[in-house]
Amino acid sequence: MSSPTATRQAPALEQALARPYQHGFVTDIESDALPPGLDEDVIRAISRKKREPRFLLDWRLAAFERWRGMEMPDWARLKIEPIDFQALCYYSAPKSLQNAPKSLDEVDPKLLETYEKLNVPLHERARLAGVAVDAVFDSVSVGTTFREQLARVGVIFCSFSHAVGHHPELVEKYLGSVVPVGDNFYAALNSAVFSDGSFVYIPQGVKCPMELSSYFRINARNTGQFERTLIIAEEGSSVSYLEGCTAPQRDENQLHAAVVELVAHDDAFIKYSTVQNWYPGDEQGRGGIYNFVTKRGLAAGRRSRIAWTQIETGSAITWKYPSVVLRGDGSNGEFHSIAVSNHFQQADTGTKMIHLGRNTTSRIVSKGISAGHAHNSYRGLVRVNGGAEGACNHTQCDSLLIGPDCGAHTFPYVDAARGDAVVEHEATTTRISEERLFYCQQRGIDPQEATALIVGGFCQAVLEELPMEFALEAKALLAVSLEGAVG
Amino acid sequence: MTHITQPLLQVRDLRVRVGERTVLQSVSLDVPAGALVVLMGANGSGKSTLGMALAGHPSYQVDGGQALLGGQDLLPLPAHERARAGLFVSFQSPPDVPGVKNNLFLRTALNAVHEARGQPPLDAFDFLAGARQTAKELGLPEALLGRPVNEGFSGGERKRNELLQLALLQPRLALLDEIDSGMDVDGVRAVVALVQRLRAQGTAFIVVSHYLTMIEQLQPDAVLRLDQGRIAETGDIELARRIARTGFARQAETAEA
Amino acid sequence: MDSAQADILAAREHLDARGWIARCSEAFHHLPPPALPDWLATHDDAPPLDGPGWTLGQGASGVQARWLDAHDPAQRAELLTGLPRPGEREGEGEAAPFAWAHRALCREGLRLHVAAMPQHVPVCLQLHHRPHARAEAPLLVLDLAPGAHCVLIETHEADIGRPTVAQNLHAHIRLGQGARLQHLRIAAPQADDHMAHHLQVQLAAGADYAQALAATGSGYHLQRSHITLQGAGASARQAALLLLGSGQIDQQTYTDLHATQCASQVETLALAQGWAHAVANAHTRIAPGSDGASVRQRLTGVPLAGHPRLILRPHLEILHDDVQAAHGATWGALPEDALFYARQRGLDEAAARALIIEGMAHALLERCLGPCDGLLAEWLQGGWLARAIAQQLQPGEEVHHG
Repeated sequence: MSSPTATRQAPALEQALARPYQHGFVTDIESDALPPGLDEDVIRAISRKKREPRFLLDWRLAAFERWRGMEMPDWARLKIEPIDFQALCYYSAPKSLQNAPKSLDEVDPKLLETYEKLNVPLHERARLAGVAVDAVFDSVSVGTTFREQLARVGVIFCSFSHAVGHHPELVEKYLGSVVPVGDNFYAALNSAVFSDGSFVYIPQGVKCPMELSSYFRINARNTGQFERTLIIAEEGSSVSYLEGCTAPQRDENQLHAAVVELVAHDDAFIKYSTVQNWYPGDEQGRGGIYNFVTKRGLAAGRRSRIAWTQIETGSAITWKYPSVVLRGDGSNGEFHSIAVSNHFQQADTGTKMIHLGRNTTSRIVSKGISAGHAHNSYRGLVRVNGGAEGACNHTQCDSLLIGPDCGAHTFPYVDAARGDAVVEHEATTTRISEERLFYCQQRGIDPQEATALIVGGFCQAVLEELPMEFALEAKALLAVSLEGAVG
Repeated sequence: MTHITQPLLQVRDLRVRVGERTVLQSVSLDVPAGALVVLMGANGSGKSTLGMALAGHPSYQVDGGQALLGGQDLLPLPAHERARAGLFVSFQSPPDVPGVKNNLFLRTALNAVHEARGQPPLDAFDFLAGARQTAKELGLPEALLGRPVNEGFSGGERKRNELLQLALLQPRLALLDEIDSGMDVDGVRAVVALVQRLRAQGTAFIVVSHYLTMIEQLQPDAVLRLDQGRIAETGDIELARRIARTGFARQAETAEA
Repeated sequence: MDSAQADILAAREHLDARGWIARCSEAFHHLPPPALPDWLATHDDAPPLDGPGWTLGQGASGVQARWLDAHDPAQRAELLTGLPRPGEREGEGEAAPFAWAHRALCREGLRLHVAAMPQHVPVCLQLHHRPHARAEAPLLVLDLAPGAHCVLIETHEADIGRPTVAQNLHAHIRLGQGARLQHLRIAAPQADDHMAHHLQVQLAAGADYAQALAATGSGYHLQRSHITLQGAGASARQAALLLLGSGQIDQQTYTDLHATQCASQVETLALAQGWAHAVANAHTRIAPGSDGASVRQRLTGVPLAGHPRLILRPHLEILHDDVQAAHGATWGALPEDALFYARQRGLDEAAARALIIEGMAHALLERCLGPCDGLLAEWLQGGWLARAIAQQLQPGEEVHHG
């Protein structure tokens, strides 16, 4: 059980980043940076700096061993420049603010324009653009009230590093229980060198009173490339977690290899929503970010439920398949996704639903929107194991094509080994036809707005699943992402 | 028709091509505010083409001529700006817009027009109240407001949805293309009532139809017969009655004689 | 060394250099094919089979048939005229090793040419194949002249007591402008047979191709079709009925739409029980510029009893927006209400199931082939289907209900 740290006066943003005052980083984190390269010594150094217990160092080293024996996966459809892992830096202090813009005047006007369109609050814009200013906004007090509420019901919500220090037994019990170190290339790398992330623990019977957002961890921007998140929901509990934000994220880190593990016990419910908008960089798709995330939920308990909801837009080359392992009898997994790609972007998203227990159900709703010269692929697997009596799945996977130069691809897999399972997968493709656009125009709606209307209608089933605050932002995000696609 | 003020719609020598085929050779007409003109013609004479060309449909190329709405040159404007300038053209087969609820669509359209006119936008509640009332008057079940535009609507329901939009948008000029098709007697009566109400407020109408009963009820100011891409004949209700009696073929013969 | 031998040698060298199908191959990783030696083995000590290879039933006018020896240089040249070399075929992808192996082993082939008949009278052909070697690589080339209409029933059925074979069969089918082919294929190997059929079909403008396949499981059974719609307005329908009492089937259907106003439909119904293991993979690609394309895929798996395992992969690659595309995959037991209805009308459990299954199978084949008369109708009503269903799908083990 954590205790809230003492409140402070509004600190300079610089201080907040360098020495987080909430349950946060180990305090001397900013003192050193390691040279690029990855070997066992680097890992030991990382673990030492973070003052980790022995079990975690051993775990990291084992993961590193596994990683060294693995080959980078080759997905034919994604065109990726080879990544030199020895050229990356695996530990560094928060970015020096020497080169940061001194004020909003120095920030790229296009970026500011986007913030305007998304109605990002003014103080937020500065933070997101990396401006070093005196923090006049009062996020401290917001954060504090929030943490008091959580503390009252026993919810732990802190950084991963803090959890390692204060709740090592929980970390040791659950880390790697959903995504084992050998699961895939990027998971292994992450397990060896992960920097930080979120840790959430909901005690038995508690319905978390508010949506938890990674935004509230002010040092979210520091965790960089290798983020590790662990969410545990005890019996009868529930939580809704939000990741990301609609405002465009600039990032010099080319590679993001995060791991998210969710564990739901009997009658528990975890909802994990992601709205990610990677700043497009240039319209030729240069400067793209590689986003390799392994997200998996284990519906371990009876009647447990895990729901993934995501909206992805932007120049990320994305390779992530949030999945649910339905182990508990009567457990349920859901996946709702909107993936938008425009210009020359490539998105490869999908999900895996693995039915193991009895009477398990899963539901997949995927909406892909392609415009410009972009390509959007959906890759989904529904597997029903031999022991998964009475399994039932329904998948609806739709693509919307805007313009003649983009592509939409669906590659579903149904792998069933049970006679009494019911699996249904349906997919359709539509486009914004000239006739429809003209109809809207003749009623006075301009093509941009008409596109936004139609796209919104197309995605309605998924937008309804998002926590309210995200849903409104999401619509604006969709509109902005598709600018220039029509008219 | 002589008028003191400039007619609301002025079309001069309009020449329209669809693909390789010139459908309208040269069409000229004037429609004053509050007037109603009936346009008749055999299939293929170009009746729908006039509406689509005025509306700015991308498949219809205007090769010559002029069209002014309230003195404003229509042809250089994109379709949505012509609409905001006060032009409404009903569709013969209104398409569906999947996933977009009828009331959201209507409110968006209405607010776009309001904005163009410098009027404040309607909020959801005000809009819905007005929409429900109008729907009722037109015999449209209220449930249709909550469904995606035209999805699963019968032909008659689609036409009534067109009228709902007409009633809410209150354009300066409306071109109604076979608005009576798929409608029963009560439906037609509702059409006429709506048209007359709007006409009294100054909306001008071009009505494409061959349904004499409705034409009679509309009390048109003029009846035009379109033939081979031109206005072959101008008249009044008598012309409509004659066409109803004898059909179009005879007219061609008479014209040639 | 003559040119035939040189060609064969080159093919073998190519195989040695490039190797066989990789384990991680995307198309084959669920059911990896037996290794290369299996397909090329010569069993010198075993008695030769006495099957005559291809036989064409009842002489029909409008068709020219040439049986050609692939070891004779002149005949080999004629046999392979106009056929793309392995490795250069569109859509061959990961199956190229099979094509090289075929080139190395092929002993004889049949070339058929069907002309257009007056009044579009269809030319009806019955083609039967009986293996004549333990490992063999039969070849079929079928050309339809523009405007021709042909009905082809192609059967591969095992004779009782025949030793097992490894058969790597390749067929090239080209339809000229406006030609039409209704193609019924029966592939019923013996339990231990290794059978791999590769069909390459090309459709010119306005051509129409309907292929209905009825296949049963075996030790290894691959049915791979690649259809290219090259000319405007071409259309293709493929239906596969997989009867899997046991054994395995890997069904791969690739369709490429390259022109405007093309239509493609792919449907698979897999009835499975016991320890059957099957993969049904439909991959359709719509190239940029294919205005007005219409594409449907439907893969249906029906587990009847036991522990069958089925992998359904309907894949769409769409690179154009003026398309209508939809696909679906379902896995689920026979409709309970239909079963109950039949039983309530007096049929016992077994008869009700047989009735429903036969109905589904018939409907599938008829949707594909269209209204059938003459030869096709005779065959469809002739009872093969009922017998095969009864034979393959005996209710053997205990069935879980509900």
